[in-house]
Amino acid sequence: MSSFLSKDRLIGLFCFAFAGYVWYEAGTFPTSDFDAVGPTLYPRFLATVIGLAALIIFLKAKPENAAGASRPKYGSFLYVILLSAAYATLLNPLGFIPTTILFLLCMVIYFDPSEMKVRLRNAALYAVLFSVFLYLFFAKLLGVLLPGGVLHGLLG
Amino acid sequence: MLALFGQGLMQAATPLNIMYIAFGVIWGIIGGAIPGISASVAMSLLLPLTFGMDPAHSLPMLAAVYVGAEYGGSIPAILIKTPGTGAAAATVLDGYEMQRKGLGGKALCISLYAGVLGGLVSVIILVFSTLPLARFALKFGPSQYFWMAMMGLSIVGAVSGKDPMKGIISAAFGLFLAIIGMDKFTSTQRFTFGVFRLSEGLDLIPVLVGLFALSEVFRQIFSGEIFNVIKDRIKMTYPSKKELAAVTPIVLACGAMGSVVGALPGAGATIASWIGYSETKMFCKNNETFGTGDIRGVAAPESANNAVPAGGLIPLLALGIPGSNSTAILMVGFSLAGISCGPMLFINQPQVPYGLMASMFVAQIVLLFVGLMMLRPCVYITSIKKIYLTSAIMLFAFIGAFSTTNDIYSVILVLVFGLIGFVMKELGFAPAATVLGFVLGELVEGNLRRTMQMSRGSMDIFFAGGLNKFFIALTILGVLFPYISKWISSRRKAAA
Repeated sequence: MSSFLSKDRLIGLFCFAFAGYVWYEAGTFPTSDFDAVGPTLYPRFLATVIGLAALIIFLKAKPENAAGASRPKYGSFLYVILLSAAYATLLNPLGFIPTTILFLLCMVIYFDPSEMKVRLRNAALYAVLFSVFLYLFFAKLLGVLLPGGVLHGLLG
Repeated sequence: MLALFGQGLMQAATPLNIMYIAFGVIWGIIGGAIPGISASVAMSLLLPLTFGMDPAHSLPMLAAVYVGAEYGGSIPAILIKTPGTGAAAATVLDGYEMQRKGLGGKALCISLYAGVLGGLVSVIILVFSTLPLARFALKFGPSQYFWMAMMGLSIVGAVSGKDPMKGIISAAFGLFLAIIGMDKFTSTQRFTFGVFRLSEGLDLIPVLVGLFALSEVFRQIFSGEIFNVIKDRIKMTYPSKKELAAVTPIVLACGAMGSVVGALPGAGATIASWIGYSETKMFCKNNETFGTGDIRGVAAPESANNAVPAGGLIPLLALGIPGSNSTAILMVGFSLAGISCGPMLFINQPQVPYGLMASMFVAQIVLLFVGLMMLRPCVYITSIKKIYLTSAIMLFAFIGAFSTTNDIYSVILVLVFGLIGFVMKELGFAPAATVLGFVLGELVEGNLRRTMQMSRGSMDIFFAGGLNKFFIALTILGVLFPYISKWISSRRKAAA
């Protein structure tokens, strides 16, 4: 990244572009004879606030310091995002308990720093017991309609 | 006033209500004790469960979470030098030094005693100050409400981001999120991007849970904090009566100060605890022992930050304006129960605000007993591997959102807002200000448009009258405050 285009300058540019989009999009809303103000004025007021603040960020931006102490864990982060997306996708077809067990197994096996044998035992115990506890707590105690999925007949 | 508070106490002291309050306090202490899970995260995770609950139970429970979390934050601060909440950062200075000397249990007890007493002081202040303020607020029209909301947002925005301008953008982004959907005045679809589900607007709960709870989880994973393991053995020790008596005046003074700070928009428990610590250090004799394990250094910040929850209720109940993210969540709790905060609440349903005040009083008493019982379990919680807590928090976030609509769409929204909140934190923005903007969005736009309809489109009405000018001045001051304080501190450094 060049010294001119520092992180804050890019943030300023992005926010300014976002403000521009809000301003433009608000101009496309139809007006009404029954409303003296209309649906456009307020979004444009917000776009102005965001745009001015973005401009100040852009103009005040300083060159960056060296990187922080800790190194970001991009792999772990991406893994959790994909796992969460898979959880949302499988929740209805598979059902709450199986999906939650799978989710917890994948989380603990990946992140627990213990040796593999202990990790697998902990993951299995935690995943099964905590999933059943959550189901009983939310579905039976609070009456939340959690998806039964493949266990639909079994759970009633 | 006192009669209504007395009635509220009778209601709050029923076994069922005490059970809800105790659950809220326990949840709050656990949430506060887990580093990174603040009062607002603990409250947002519990919010979906209050859907359809009797407000006489749900509101005290949410308020009790707030009370419990402010104390809970001091547990890891004292035991492992990791403040569970920002408000407990000042407690680390002397609390952890006491723990190093083998006095961790004593520090926890002092923290609990100071928190409970400071909280009780703030409830008394809340009872006597809210009604006069609400009466005064009855004079407000839509333009005053518009400016008051703008003032709160500008102050919160300016003080909560790494850069005041990023804070302002965060708050404005929250206001923008509230626009999404069908315009209530003209039925025009705004910023729905062709997505049919967005035409009904964004649900509060997925947005709140995503921006608060899930974004924090993502941050811990991204920074590698999730791999941290703690292996400390803790010994229990208790303070003497003489020591408790010695810190009582400090606790009472810091409790009163914390109430005032809590009532100010954007100030919050973190600022209150630092003010409490520094002022106590300045006024106390033999202050050279501060920072080396002095019990006064634990009592002062803990009393101040535990006084903030009740202090924060003053503007919420009297004006309908939340001054912090936790009170914003409480305001959502009111909305879910079909109750509008503000001065009319004292006329239409006076039993609700006084019932809540009484519940806050009971919550402090419950905190004392629950806190003593939970000392050892909480010590254990702080030493659990983070992955177990993190995955549990993620599931609570997903199920909580799912339970509000019985729909995967809400889970996807939580995920999207978790990512947005995470990116905001990484870039120095303030998700808390966004939440506040989102909660206040309808009030801001509604009052802006009502005012302009009254004036047939003229803007002059916003600048007419002393009250408007007063709020405008405070709004400008709020935006400029970080720059002014920076300038003052640089001048002081130059003079030193």
